[in-house]
Amino acid sequence: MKTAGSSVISVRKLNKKYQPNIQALTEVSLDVERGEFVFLTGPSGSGKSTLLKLLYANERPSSGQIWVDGVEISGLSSSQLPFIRRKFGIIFQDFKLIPYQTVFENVSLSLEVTGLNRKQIKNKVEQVLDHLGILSKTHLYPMRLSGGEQQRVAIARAIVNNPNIILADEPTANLDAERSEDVLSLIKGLNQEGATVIFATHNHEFFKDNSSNVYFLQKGLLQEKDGL
Amino acid sequence: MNLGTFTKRAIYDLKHHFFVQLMTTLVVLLSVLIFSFFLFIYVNLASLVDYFGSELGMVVFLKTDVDYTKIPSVHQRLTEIKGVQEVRYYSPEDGFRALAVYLGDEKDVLDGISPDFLPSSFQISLNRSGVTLSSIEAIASELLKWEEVEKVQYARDWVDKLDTFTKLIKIVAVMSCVLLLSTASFVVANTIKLQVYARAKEIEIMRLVGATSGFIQMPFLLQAFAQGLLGASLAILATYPCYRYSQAVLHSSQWLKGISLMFLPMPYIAAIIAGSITICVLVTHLSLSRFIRV
Ligand SMILES: Nc1ncnc2c1ncn2[C@@H]1O[C@H](COP(=O)(O)OP(=O)(O)O)[C@@H](O)[C@H]1O
Ligand SMILES: [Mg+2]
Repeated sequence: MKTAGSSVISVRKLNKKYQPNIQALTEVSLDVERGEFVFLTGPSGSGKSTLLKLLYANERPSSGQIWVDGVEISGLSSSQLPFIRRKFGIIFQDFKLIPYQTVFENVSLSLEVTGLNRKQIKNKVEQVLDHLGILSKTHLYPMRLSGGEQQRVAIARAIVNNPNIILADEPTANLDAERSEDVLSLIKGLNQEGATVIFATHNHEFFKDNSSNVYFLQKGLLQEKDGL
Repeated sequence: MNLGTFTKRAIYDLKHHFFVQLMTTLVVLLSVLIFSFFLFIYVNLASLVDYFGSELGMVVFLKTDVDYTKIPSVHQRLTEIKGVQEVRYYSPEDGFRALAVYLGDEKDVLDGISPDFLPSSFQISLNRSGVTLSSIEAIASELLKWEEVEKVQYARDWVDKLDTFTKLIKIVAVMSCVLLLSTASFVVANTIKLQVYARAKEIEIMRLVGATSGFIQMPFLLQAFAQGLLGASLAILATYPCYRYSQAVLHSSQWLKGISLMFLPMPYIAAIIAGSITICVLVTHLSLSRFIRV
């Protein structure tokens, strides 16, 4: 058993109840070590997204504690939450790109909120777009890109700020098999560069090699899987 | 914080919600216009009251049995009162002559009557500046306490009525201010609501990448600032021709020629513009805090 002290993320006895009476998570405890790659799986409606939302403080827990980088976030005031969120790079199934902003502007957003100046933003954004192989799309609007390219833009936005932790909520659910493998290996690459990753997915193919920790959620209850 | 980014976003919103923004600015403009109109009337009535109050001066009648030797000292004491500009003595004989002139052909009725039945009086004119209705009243009631004084007369009725009217206008101005404030706030709040809904997705994404609520609110607050500033300034500009027109009307009137209107004083203008901006920004901030969760 890992101790709360050395973990990037520690969750203790977490409960989340939605109105009116939906128990989405029940007594969930979890530790994620620095640099670890963790899969989070389970049927639809089992609470995967809810768990991630609680981690990046998009929802507040009904009870229980969450430590991120040693900070207990359920006790933080709402004005402190943005600074916790900047520790995360978040990737979604539906990409969540702003349709009327270019690739450049979409990716810039992560840096603009931190108050970097234009020049610094331009450098970093171009660097990350280049790294993800979409530099040529810099001035296009998301609509003009394929699904795989759009997800790369979303990934670029998630990582341009060098977050410690990457949260991916079924990032491949809208992509075909080949693109999915692409995105997975991209995120694995980021993990090798040092980022801690929590990857929620339906796709059992992804963890059949058994090289990562896999957590299984069922009706809001979390179990660690010892392989399949 | 990067002001360029915010300005860009604000301008983007301005373009994409042009009609709504225009309507909101118009509502702000109209509200300020109506308020400035009442304020303009109020400011000028207040100065009109002062104008008439000092213009008419006052007349102090002494008791008929006052010893003549005391009159120079009364005269002296009157001149020493603050706000008094000039004091002229009218003896009973002066009064008698004036009465005779007034009676004209009928002056025979005065035959054989001694002027002594008329009181001595002082005609007092007041300093134009610094004399208000209440100071006139204060002077009058002070004079009434003097043992030699029988009666003090000034254009009390006139000035009182004007004063009441001024108070009424003041109430109307305050009420219109409250009413307009709530309408304008309501419209501004609704515009914001509309924009927040239109940009719900973008705002959600901003939150996810760690935007503070200040960052999210800034473009909206800039817009509100611009709306408040623009609406109020245009309204005040629109009041100016009204002022010129009323002045021209007064000047062409024989009787009111002496009255000069004044435009809203500079501090008032500054306060109106600052107030308009504050209201717009504050209402925007409050409704954003309601609509955008952290
Ligand atoms: N905002 C919400 N309000 C009410 N119920 C919700 C909300 N979000 C999720 N739920 C419910 O919580 C449960 C878990 O949902 P979710 O975390 O989205 O599951 P998953 O991501 O594993 O599909 C589901 O029953 C879902 O209907
Ligand atoms: Mg989900």
